[in-house]
Amino acid sequence: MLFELRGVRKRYGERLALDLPALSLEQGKPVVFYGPNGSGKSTLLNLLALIDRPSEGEVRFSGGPREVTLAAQNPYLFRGSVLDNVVRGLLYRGRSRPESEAAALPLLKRLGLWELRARPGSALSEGERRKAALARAFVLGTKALLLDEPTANLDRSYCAEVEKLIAEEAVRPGRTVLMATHDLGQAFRMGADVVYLSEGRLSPVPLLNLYPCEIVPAEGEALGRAVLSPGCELFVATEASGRATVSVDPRDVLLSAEPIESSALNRLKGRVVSASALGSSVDVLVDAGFPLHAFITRRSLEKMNIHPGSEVHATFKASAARVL
Amino acid sequence: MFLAEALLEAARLIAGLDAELLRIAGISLSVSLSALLLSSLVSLPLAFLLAFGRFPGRRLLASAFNALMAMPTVVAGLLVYSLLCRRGAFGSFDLLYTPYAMAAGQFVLATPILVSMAASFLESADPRIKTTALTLGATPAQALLAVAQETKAGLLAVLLAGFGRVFAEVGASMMLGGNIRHYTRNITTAIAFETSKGEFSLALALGLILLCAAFLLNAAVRRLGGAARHAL
Repeated sequence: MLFELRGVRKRYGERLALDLPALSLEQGKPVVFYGPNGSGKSTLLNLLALIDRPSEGEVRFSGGPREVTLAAQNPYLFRGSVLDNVVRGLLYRGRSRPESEAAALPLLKRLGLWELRARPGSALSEGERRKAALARAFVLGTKALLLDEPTANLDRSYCAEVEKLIAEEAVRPGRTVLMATHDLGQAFRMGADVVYLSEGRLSPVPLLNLYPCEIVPAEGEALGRAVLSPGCELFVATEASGRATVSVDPRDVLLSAEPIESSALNRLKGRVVSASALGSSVDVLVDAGFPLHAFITRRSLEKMNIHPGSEVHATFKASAARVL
Repeated sequence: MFLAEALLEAARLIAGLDAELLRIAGISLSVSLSALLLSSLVSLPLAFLLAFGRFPGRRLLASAFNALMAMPTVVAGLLVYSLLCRRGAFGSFDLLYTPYAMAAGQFVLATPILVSMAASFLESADPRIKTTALTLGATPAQALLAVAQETKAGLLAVLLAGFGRVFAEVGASMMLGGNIRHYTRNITTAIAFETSKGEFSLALALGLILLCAAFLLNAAVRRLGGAARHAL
């Protein structure tokens, strides 16, 4: 095991930011920590990076403190040039300056930072800053490479480029990439295992409503029809078209006994197949021509008197259906 | 009218690089610089300890240094005097009425200022500096060094502010140096002495130098930028 977490809790004052009874992360297997903002992803990465200690419990890492590194979401670039920043960690490891520069140069070229190597960090764009921070982490060749939202708030072309660079890094032998993201598609594209965090706890992965489909552009802008099977369609807020996989977050699906008049484009009729408890909520599986999971509270379940076989209407916005 | 004459004479002394004037200014400068240098050797590590260390009594120590910032100069003089006088703990070294005694007094004055201001400045420094250095494999000492490197403008401003304080003080210098000509007579004690003699021109010339030094220091501190201003 690369990391073993036992009974780990992290508190900030009164707030319990992280509560992980047990989590093991395997060597060589990329993992994506997925969850909304404030779900504890960064807290977890800081613990794994050994720069923060848990309030309770134990984080066990199979390597030394210099075999793990973290590229933060909002990285700090030191005074000096991009090159100064990139060689910093190598200098900390006792390597000489010329040796460190020689090691950094191919990476600078690969990340498109070669032309910028002499520039100070303050003269870089946001995307360039992030790439410099990635280069600074990549160059160390650590056993564990932790990345905190490496593409958040970057424009699309940067995102695609950075994702490709990370994917290249992830397949290097002896290296494990662990990444936090709030973009599920990223997890999917990386072929990584997904650990879903919600309010500091491990949650069942909401990779429940995954539909391979053919997307056809619909009338109107940034809207598509996802054809799951003949006669089985969803509206998706996307500009993409062609073969894709669409996911619907089960928390975004509204169930009702009667059809609801609303602005939501996806209105489906179906029958309840099963309802199973899931922490404080209930996972209701609806047959709407295709299996659709909806997370609702226990209270709504009782109020709506839902049981297997009852007829329900499922409603969700086109923006709740995401292309992976 | 005599003020105008004295001013004219003062200008002449400064412009002519009067030997007496230079001697006095030199003593001020060397005493205050050595006091500041010695104090910074002690104060900066202490400030790092207060800003980044976690030990019982840290807050108490920080507030003690904070309170001592307001120490009257004569009290610092008194403290060092009691140590250096014949019956004091270090009386046998015969240091009273020497520039060393003056430097010791200024050291006592400067240290709480440097510790308090540097510590509060370091506490306000970007916390990512330390964590970034650590994630890159820095030892704790290397991480603190990185903080020092990244905040050096602010730390320099703190040193300048400390220098301003000791360069302009008169109480400790008078008590510990004794205003001995060509030996312990510095700018501030000379001003007090010359004024009491009625020799306004030399006093005014020294006063102008002191004022200019204060302006320059202040300007330098401002120039060191937003981070530095934050500390002051």
